[in-house]
Amino acid sequence: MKRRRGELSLDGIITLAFITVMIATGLAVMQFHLSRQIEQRVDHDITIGYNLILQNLRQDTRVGKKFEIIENGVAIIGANGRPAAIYRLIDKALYRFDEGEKGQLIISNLEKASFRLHPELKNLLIVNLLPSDKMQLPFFTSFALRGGLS
Amino acid sequence: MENHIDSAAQPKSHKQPANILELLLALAILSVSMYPLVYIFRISQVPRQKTQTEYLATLLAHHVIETIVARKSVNPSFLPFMSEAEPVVQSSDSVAPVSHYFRGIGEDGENITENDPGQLYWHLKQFSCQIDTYYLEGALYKVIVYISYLNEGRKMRVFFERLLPQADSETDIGDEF
Repeated sequence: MKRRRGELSLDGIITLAFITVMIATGLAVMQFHLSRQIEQRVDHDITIGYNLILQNLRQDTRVGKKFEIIENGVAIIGANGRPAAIYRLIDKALYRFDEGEKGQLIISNLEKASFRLHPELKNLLIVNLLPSDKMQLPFFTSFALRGGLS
Repeated sequence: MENHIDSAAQPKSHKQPANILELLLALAILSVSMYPLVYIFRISQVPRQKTQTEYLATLLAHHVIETIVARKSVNPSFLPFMSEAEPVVQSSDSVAPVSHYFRGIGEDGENITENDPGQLYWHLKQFSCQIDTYYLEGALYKVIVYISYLNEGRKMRVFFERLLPQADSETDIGDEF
């Protein structure tokens, strides 16, 4: 049987599609692998750590009555006069300690963590975090004490 | 002889539309088979710098809202005044005053300048802060904080809004968005 030029059989199409799917899958896996490597190298998910800080500090300042600046960190004093939470920079990593003094790593690879009160408002904590990688985004925002108001 | 030629030409004319159909089918299957690659490429793409800029703008808007909350807690009659877009850092190439909410917040108690020990100047220089305050019915004010910046020549804005009670109102403070 003479094979005509320009024709593509169904078997040929399926074979070609199968090969293409295999190549696409291989490239997709490679791309995913590369993206994870890049993420680890530049620590691209620094905002995940920042979101944890936002989440924890917002929660703690809702119940906090007073800020107490301590060495390398800050304590949020609750209604009972005892620290509801303590944030402390230890070995370039920020930890949160709760009432049971159980430590939780919030974010690592920090060059500096600054906790200070607003010059006029003692119920406002200004937080400034500088990552070790200078190309990364710094963290700068403030948290007001609610003391259970809202 | 004539009959033989006709019978040979007949299947050829039937084969032509079948070839186009096969080609379209091949293109469709190939397009579908390439979708996983495109999808994985999209989800694994490194976020662009503007996303980080937007994130930092959100943090600055959060700072302003929290400052308003803190001030309102100290002085219940406090009402944030409206302002035009003002810079958040003090730069030598601008005479515009620094936004009220960013004055004296440097680590040295001064405005954030190029020599700021907190190394924030170059990150914050691109932002400006604008405050709008509106009176609402129900003894409430609405404060909208805009943090704006330029992205590829286009003005981008991040905004937070918050409801504030009037001084003589017992209404609780609302949530920001």
